[in-house]
Amino acid sequence: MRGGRTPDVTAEHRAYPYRRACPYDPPPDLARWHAESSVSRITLWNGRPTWIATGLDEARTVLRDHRVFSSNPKAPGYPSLSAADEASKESGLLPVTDPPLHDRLRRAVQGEFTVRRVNEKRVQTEEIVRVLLDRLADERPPVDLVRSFAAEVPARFTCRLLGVPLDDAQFFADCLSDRFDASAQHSSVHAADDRLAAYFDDVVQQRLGEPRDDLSGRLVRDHVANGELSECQAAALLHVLLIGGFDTTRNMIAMGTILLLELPDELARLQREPSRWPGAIEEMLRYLSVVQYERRAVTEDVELGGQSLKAGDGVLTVLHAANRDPRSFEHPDELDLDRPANNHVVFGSGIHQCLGQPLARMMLQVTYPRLFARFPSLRLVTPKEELRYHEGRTIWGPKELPVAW
Amino acid sequence: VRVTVDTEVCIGSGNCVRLADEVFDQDDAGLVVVLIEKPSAEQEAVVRTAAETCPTGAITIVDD
Repeated sequence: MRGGRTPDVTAEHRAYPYRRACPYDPPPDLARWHAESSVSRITLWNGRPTWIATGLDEARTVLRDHRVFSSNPKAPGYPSLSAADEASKESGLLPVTDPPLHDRLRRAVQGEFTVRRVNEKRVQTEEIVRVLLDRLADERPPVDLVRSFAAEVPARFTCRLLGVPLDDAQFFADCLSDRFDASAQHSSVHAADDRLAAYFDDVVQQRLGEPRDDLSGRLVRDHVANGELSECQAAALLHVLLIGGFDTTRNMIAMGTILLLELPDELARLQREPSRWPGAIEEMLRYLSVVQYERRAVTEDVELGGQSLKAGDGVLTVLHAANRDPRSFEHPDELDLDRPANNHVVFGSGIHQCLGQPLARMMLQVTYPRLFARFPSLRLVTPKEELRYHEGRTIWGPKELPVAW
Repeated sequence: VRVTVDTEVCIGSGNCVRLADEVFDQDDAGLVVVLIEKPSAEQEAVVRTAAETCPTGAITIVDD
């Protein structure tokens, strides 16, 4: 822990750095600021100041102390990341609730995501990947790997998990694209929220009328029928599982593919020694950190990283910077696929830690080895520096990934 | 050493099961279950890692 320091006056003029120099690395300003202090002050798009926690220990402290650091967007100081983001503040979804409501909602679905339940879905995932790779092989390159594969693996998996028709995947993708477009108008963000909310209200009604043994059906049978959750709360839970399922894994599959294609020797070694994949994927999760930040509102005065945070301030935990913190990782900017004890925070920490993380790991472990085994001559058509990325969004990844083989 | 867990605090992340499935398990609701209350000397290091990296600090290692 550093000694007490007063915030640098010039820091007030630091605008949040969305621009990266390299698609793998956090914006370079972050490392410079972090060298000065693991907690510093920046200015958001709307001119409001907020704190950023760029150290691993500090980020974890914020994420674990949900009493002092609230996830409620209505709490004073909660940082807003864009006009579109601000438009969608009222949604009351699981990641933006505090206990006791949070715990009640999370516990209603937590049992669906145990390590055992996830492992039972491995064969099903292998089948989804096989079908998609067959379909990919029939296409004429160049092909957009995001659209044809990286988005499809989690989309198909999530539809099956929730028990909704695969035919609706495009509807979901369109809604989420509008919902998370940082440049979108308030009205289109609201409309996307409303369409998804209405969709899952219908799913809950259908399951009430006709019980089914899928996640939606079990949620309704075990938690709505007995009055523990309202129909609206159940619909919001399904809504948030959809968001979590569709967006994150897609970007990690795409970013990981770009990375591995640049490391043919490492990739060949992994394929020869497949028991190394889980550890290698942990390191890729740390190194690429596709989930870039989480936010909290400070509810009481607190010291963090030598800075004095006041009730009503906001904090961004900058996960990609924390995962490159030199105090916690040796040679943090190097990719070491055998890195031991990889205690990264890409899934967050504390009570809001990613519910689907065992699923994400399993899906990546199934996906990468099969993609590269099936297409050993896979290559990028466009250099990674020239790809278009989702600038300004919380989750980082390429919009398209043209590949050939 | 002895392992104790607090299921009131556990959020069912499965972190401990992923690291040491011979020592930890999850019940149907996803909450932590201790399979081996007194882990062996070989298991001690990974059990300590599981306690340190538990997202909600639900695992405590007590030295005998």
